[in-house]
Amino acid sequence: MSDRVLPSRLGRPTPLGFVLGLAVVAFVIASFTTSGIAPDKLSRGIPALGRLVEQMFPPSAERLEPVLWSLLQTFQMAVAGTILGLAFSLPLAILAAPSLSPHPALVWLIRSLVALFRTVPDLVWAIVFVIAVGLGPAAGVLALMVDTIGFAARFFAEAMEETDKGPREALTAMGASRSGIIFSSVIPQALPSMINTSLFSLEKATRGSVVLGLVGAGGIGIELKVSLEMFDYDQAATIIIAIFLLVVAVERASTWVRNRIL
Amino acid sequence: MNVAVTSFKPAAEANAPAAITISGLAKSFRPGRPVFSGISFDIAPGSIVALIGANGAGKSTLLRCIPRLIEPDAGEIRVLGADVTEASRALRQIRTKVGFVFQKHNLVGRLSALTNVVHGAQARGLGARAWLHALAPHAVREEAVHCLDRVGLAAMAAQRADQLSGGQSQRVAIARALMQHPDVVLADEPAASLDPQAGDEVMQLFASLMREERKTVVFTSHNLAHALSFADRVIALGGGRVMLDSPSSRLRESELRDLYV
Repeated sequence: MSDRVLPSRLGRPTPLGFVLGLAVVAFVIASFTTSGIAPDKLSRGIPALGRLVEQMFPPSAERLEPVLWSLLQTFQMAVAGTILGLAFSLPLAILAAPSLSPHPALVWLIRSLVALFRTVPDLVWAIVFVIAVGLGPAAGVLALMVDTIGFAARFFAEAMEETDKGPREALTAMGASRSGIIFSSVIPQALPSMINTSLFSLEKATRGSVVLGLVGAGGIGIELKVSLEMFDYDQAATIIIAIFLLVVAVERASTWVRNRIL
Repeated sequence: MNVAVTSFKPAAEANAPAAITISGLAKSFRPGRPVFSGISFDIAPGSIVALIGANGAGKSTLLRCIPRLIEPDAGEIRVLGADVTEASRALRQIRTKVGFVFQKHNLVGRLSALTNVVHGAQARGLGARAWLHALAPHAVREEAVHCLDRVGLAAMAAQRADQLSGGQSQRVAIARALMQHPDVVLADEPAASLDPQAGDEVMQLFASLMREERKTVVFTSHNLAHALSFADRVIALGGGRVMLDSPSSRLRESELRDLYV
């Protein structure tokens, strides 16, 4: 008779683990209750959604020209916001990368700032900049810039940290300057990842720029808001289709560029 | 151990100041377990010295201590008369005169062989003009191609470094060191990651270029034949100290092999 014992499939939970598990389950149930998701509400909502879709079709081409101009402005906001954001992200990423930054305190400070930029939603930044610089696309561009920094600076810093330290050591050994080491060893190695992040930033900014108009920060969002408030659902459908086509086009173009370059 | 510890003092040292002076050098990575301690020797200008020893003897650590890529715990290092151990702002200036060829060549793979060689000119204060070959002045680009030509790779100047073979990459690393115009060249097992034939070719090329340029060279190696063929002097490390220091002409391979026992 062998003394081998087959281990149980699931480990026996500790008392603390059991209590924590129960707490998580209770919190999930409470979350559904608080948010008011109930089958009767859903059953009432679906026919209303059907009526809305019915009123949206066929989409109206009545205001197609101004819609397309707004769409162009939206994309331009995304491009400007992304370029500005990426331009600030590069130096911030260098300061936030522990092996490149001149001081550990600076790493902590910059990482905290970038985390703040990232955790506050772009819509909130748009409201802040509307208050600061007034209604219009400038507020939208600034909001997208801050949002891009929050995203790109973090990934740029990580890409730089992950580069092979060997070439860096070779340049250090020959007495190269800090900027020489960064620009001739670190950035060339991190470039594929940085290009990838930049393209994702543009895609993200394009999606983000659409809703910024809802708070008066320029772009096509304001057109959508007005159409919905005036119950012009057929015009709203045109705007939604236009937004969809823009986002898909940017994503496709971005994928094409990524495949060509990387 | 049946090898007597000898101390070699080259005749050249009597007249010319040493290119490298190491006195009482010590380094440990864990308290109470020194990699080596009390290491002292001088290296005459223009000489080629092989540093040998078993794995863990501290050859690479000692070599990296010379330009302070690793900080020594105690002792003094002088390179071309300058005190490396005490240098702070001057350290970069001292390093510009010391070329370093690494075992794994340490090239930037995504950049061309030419740009990697141009990087060597960063030691000469070219700043941003030596970041990429496209930014470099015509004379620097010409010189970089000439350096590649000397290692037999001028035709591959535009090739990405990560598309080169191990031997070719190490040749580019040697060209980068030449581009630096150093007085001293340190090489950490430059042939160790190559197959025997490529390793022999790279060492042959490295030693002949260094002799031609009259550089002071210290290289580490596990290959005793390389140590005896290409070096004027062999220093063996073991047990945290210098076990042997002798002109290579007075040594036999079997004698050195005993050091590994």
